[in-house]
Amino acid sequence: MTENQNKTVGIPGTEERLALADVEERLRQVRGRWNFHTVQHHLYRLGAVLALGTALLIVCTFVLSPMLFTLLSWPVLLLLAFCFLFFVRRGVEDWADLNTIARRVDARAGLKERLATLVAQLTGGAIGKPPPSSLWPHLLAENTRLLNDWEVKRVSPSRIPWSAVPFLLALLLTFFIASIPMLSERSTQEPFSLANLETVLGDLPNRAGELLDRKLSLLPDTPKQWGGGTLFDTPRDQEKKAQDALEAGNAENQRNPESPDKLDAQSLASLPQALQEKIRQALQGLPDKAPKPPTPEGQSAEQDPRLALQAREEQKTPSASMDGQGDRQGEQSPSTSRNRDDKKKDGSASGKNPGAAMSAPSQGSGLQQLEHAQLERKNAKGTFQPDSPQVPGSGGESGEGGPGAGSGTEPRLYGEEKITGKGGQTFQLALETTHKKSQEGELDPEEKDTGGIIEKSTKGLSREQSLDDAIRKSQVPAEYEDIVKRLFVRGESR
Amino acid sequence: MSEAPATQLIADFQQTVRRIEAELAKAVVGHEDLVRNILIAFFAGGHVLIEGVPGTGKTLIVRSLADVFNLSFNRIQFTVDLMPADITGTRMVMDRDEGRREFVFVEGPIFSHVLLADEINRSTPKTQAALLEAMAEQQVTVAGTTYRLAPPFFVLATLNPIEMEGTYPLPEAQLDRFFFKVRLTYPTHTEIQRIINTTTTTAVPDLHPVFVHAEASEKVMALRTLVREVMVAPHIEEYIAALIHATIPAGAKYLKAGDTARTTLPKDDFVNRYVSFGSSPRGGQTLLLGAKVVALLDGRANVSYEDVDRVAIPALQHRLVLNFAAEAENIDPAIIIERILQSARKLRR
Repeated sequence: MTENQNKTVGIPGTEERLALADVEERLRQVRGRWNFHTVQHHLYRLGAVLALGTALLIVCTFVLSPMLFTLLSWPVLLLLAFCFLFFVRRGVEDWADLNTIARRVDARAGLKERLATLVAQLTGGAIGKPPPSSLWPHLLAENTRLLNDWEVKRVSPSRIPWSAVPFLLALLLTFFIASIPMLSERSTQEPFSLANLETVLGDLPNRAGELLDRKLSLLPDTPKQWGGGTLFDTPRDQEKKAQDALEAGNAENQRNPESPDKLDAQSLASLPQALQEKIRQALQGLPDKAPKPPTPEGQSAEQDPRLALQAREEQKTPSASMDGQGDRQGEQSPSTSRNRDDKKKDGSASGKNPGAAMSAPSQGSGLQQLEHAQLERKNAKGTFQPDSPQVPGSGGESGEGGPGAGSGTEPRLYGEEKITGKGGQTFQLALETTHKKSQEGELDPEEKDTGGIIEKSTKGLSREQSLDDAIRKSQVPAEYEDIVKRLFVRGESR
Repeated sequence: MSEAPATQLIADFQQTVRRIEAELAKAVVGHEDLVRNILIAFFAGGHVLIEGVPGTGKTLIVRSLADVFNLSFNRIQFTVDLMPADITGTRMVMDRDEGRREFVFVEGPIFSHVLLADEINRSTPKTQAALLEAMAEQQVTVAGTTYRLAPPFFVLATLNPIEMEGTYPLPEAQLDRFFFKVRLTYPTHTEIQRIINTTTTTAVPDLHPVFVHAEASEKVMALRTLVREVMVAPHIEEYIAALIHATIPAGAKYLKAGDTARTTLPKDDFVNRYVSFGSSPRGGQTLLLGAKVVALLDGRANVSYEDVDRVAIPALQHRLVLNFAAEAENIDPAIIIERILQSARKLRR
């Protein structure tokens, strides 16, 4: 050590200065990681509190009356604001300087305050001044020698603090609570009732599968799913909106009557924008499929997920669905088959003929529900013939419902509707063959195998039937049918 | 960067202490901790009060220590009729060669490097107080004249806790001037065997001085200076201050109002229940100086928490004034200090 070096501490270029720089650099790395950990920790804690507060507010939205909700929400919001300020303040307070970090490193690495003492001398302004002690070189040498004992990874906290776990749990809880109203039955006014919670929890795996299928499918308009309305729309309001939308559509059609042929080609996308939007709002919570261009004739039905085409295919090869060889359709449209499977758990035939259960439900369940609705209507009118070979009640053989669904709409059903003149109160959702039957009384043998999808004509239909027909052609899935059926039943009861 | 001189200084210190302990071990059987505490106090520049039953080797330890240091040694047997002048010295009329007579100051036994004040509690407080100035200021004043004591000045006083009749307990002010108060325990079974074996023969332990007599005082003073070179981080000083504050009961008199830092300290309930007066700031000085010696003995140039804890009991136990409840329940100050140390460990975060 030269005479000059003895006079002051940390002269640039000296070995002492280099040693000090090494220690300081290592310490700054530790400090960076420690402060990052601290910030993360407080952010996660704050996030957990905010998530829980949000969840509480969501629950209160549905559980409490507006007055109580108002009274409660302000204290909750104030509490959340207080928590925010609290954690921000804690974060500022816990921001560690070099001295604090040196103490922590000493504690973790068992340095017996060597590093803290050195850093305290440095931060106290030892640089450029005479050494604070004759033992200063020894202290510095010890710290340099012990650098290997406190590597950054060893003395630094973990990259992800433990508070991330409660934060994630709180976040999951909040998402779950927020999704309960969306996962609930639309008619449920109290989404947080125990009964509804049981329903939602029971249906959650199916919903998850549905969501997965939707993600995997090529269906557009996924952002529209479940999201048309706000959380604060009651199901009754939503149904009212749907009713209004339908009425508005009817009124518009009345103002602008179009030829039946044009209506035939009408799909949901071809409807007026307002009507489309209202229909979507009314049908929120259900998957929304964009219209597809009509399939050219001769195109394989396997590429078209629509029910009508599949029904045709099944009709062409009834044995394939009957003997369980029609699995390929079920494989091609997993979402629909899964949905149908869920709804047909009580079907006795599903156990008997699993192959049919896989393929047939994609066409059977939607129509089956429609048949149920028609059956109810017929029972109400006293015109239902239980001995009919296409008795919907026999749809209990739902696993075999493929071919049955195709002919499940007896032509005379709609014929009678026409005769009684009550078409305005009926909803016609059937395959084109059925419709043709209703129009002509008999199926044209030549058209049996066309597999046509598009209705050739809607002559003789009432205006309401035409509208319904348009909706049908927009590839309405089973859930749409369910909703429309409910709307229809309501309108009928009114 | 040249660390050799500093490291060499520390190594010399460690070696010196080891040699002293080794020499003392020839004469003193057992009591390693006691010897270590005495050495800590010696190199920190303090005085030691040894409390122990008779016949446990108090005087032997002190005499051996003086021999090993090769420093001047005096012993004063404190009795009831001992006068202050018997300790400090007095002015006497002396005949000169010319026939003239004049007063000449004759130094008392206090003028030595190592002073053994045996059974100090047997003398009157007036005599005991004669030691006060010498222990604190390392000087004595006789007839208006101040005389400096040659450094190093080291007082080792002994207390006999058994025969309390006719004794004068040391006043708190004088107790506070002792750096450490250590207790001499009974030797163990094997130690007693060794004691009776080595002390009942003609063989006399041959103690080799560690220092040359002419250089002894200088060497000791150099080592004492080295002790004060040990560096201390601010948080260690905070810790020591917290310990001192923790010994003061909440309802004690003479507390400064508005000491916000004090309210954040961990307070043990034992202190409030059994302590009348806590430690003085001199206790803090003692803690830090003792910790510095411990750090040097450990080969470090800085003080750690463990060093402070190591010297806490001998440094503070005679500075706590316990109340009547503590005496009634036979509460030892060491227990209170242990509890204070435990609660103060939260401050180490």
